[in-house]
Amino acid sequence: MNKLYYICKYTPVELLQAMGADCAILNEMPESFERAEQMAHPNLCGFGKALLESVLSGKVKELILVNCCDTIRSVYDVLKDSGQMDFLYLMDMLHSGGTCSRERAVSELKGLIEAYGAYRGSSFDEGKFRSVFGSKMLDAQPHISVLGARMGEELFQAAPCRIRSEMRAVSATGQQERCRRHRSWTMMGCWTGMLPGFWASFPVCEWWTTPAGSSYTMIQR
Amino acid sequence: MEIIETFGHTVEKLCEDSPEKARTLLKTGWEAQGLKFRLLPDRRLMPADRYLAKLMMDTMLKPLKNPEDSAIVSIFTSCELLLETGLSPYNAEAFSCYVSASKAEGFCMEQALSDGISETLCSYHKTFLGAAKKGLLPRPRCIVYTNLICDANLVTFRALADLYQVPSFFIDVPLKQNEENVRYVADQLKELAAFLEEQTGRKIDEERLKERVASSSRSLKNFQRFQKARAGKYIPTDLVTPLYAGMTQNILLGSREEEKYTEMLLRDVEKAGPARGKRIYWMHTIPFWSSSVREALAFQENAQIVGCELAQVYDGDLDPEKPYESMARRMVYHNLNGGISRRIEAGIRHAQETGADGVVWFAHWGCKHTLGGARLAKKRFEEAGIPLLILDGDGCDQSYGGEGQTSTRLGAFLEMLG
Repeated sequence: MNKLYYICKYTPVELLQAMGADCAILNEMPESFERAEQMAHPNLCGFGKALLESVLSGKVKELILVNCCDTIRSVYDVLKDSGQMDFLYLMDMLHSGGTCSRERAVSELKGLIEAYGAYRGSSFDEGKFRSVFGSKMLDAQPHISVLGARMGEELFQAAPCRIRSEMRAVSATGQQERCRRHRSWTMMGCWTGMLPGFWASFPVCEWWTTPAGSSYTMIQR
Repeated sequence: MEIIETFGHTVEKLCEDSPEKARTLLKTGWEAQGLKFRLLPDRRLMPADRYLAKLMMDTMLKPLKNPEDSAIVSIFTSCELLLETGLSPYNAEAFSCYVSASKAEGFCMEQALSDGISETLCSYHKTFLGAAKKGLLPRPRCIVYTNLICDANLVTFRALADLYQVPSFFIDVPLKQNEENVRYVADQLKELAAFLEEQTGRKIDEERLKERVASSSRSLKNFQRFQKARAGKYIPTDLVTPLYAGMTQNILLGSREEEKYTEMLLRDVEKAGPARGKRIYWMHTIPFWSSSVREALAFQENAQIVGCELAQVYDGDLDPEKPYESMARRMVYHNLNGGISRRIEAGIRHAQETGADGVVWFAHWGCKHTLGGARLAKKRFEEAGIPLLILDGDGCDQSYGGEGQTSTRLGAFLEMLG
């Protein structure tokens, strides 16, 4: 069975798992954007091009996207036209919590169930749905959160070892499982004075302080 | 040109210490330009387009003169409700264009970048944000915006509401075209009406609103008829007139002035001479500042722009008896909403209707939707028998450069058209 890839934390993974999908985050950093630039445009954002390049390489056959930004809308358009996908779906995410937004969100989710069910020949299993909501307790210990655009494994590896172990990606992909804790928070206090200088020298990041006692957050540009 | 550069430089310098004086200078400069449009209009343009230049300048001046009676809006926001409550549309994209035309966009964008705005944000948005932060642009009564077409709106207008500390109203327009989504948007527009009544203290009269929507419908139909009628006709134009039409066919729909403009167009086209030269339909914004594009297409008998997609964003019908549903339908079924195929199909249809020989797909640097769809557009237009040039550039940021390449590529394209 193919994996159903997704890229965004707004993806209703539990719902898809309840229909038998084997879901996985697509988070790759290709070495070039040859296919992406040929199919879209060189000035498209790097994340969109990385996504296109990964999918057009042929290994991804099932993909669910969320219209968080214009780039992802474009990625959907290009992939739909490519004819390479077995299953491709764009969820229309709500941008408002106002009038009838809940009803419309329900309608969107039902639309997804219908589309994936038709593709896979499966139906929504409520029991399975409830069971996949396991206790995903996040570690409440202090840490460095990475917000903003997604940070690929390669960029995590590029961070100095002593920082890397404390980093937790909570960006659009929602990869909280990346948290790898090998150091105690007590070490963080001694970093305080050196953080601005450190982040300024880091090529893709800027530093962002949060109130004392909480974590440091790194915003990927 | 040097006068304008000096003007922009003076605005920038004044802005450092006295934003109010910079704003007064900007307003005075635009008023002078408005006076020129009245007393010494460009006789090469048709009467309707001369009227349009004045109309657009008046529209820009209103928020500068009476900001408390204006609402900042994104270009594709339905403005009939604003007009009905006496608020002038204070359009972010148009203001950025005019600030750029005043050679004052550079320091505004620098301000936005120094405030942490990403370099990759659309230059229209960076310019407006920077100008607002600098104090060059005045505080409005409120802000009304939508996610329709452009995701940058979600950053820009929230930041503006925070900066100016004014109430804002957001219209969520779904991607899919169906009746459920029309109802969803119509309900939001009813809430917008209540919001505007609260902000202005003026009641919206349902019968008057119906008449405004009827006027919108007539203006849209008139413009469609004009675009079809111009096939086979030569209508001299510069680079800004199609952009002006793109602005007013959105933010001034429902106004008597816009309807008058479209009526004048229909009269003018009857008197226009036979077509001559190559006819270019333009997709997305036009880099009005580019001398290369101006030399190739402004008032040129051998090649001219015959339409811009920004002025033709809705082809359906409106039912004035259902004003909220009609305004919502115009947003949901907007030609640029949804997948890129809808936009491309509308572009092909409009290019064919105007008898275009070729199409320019302007890959405005900050517009990810336009960039992402560029190759698909080239394929589909050419399958429909219409040659398409993907032209990279920036509609607002004059420091983008690339004039040599623009000239070469556009020149080669026009030559290829024969």
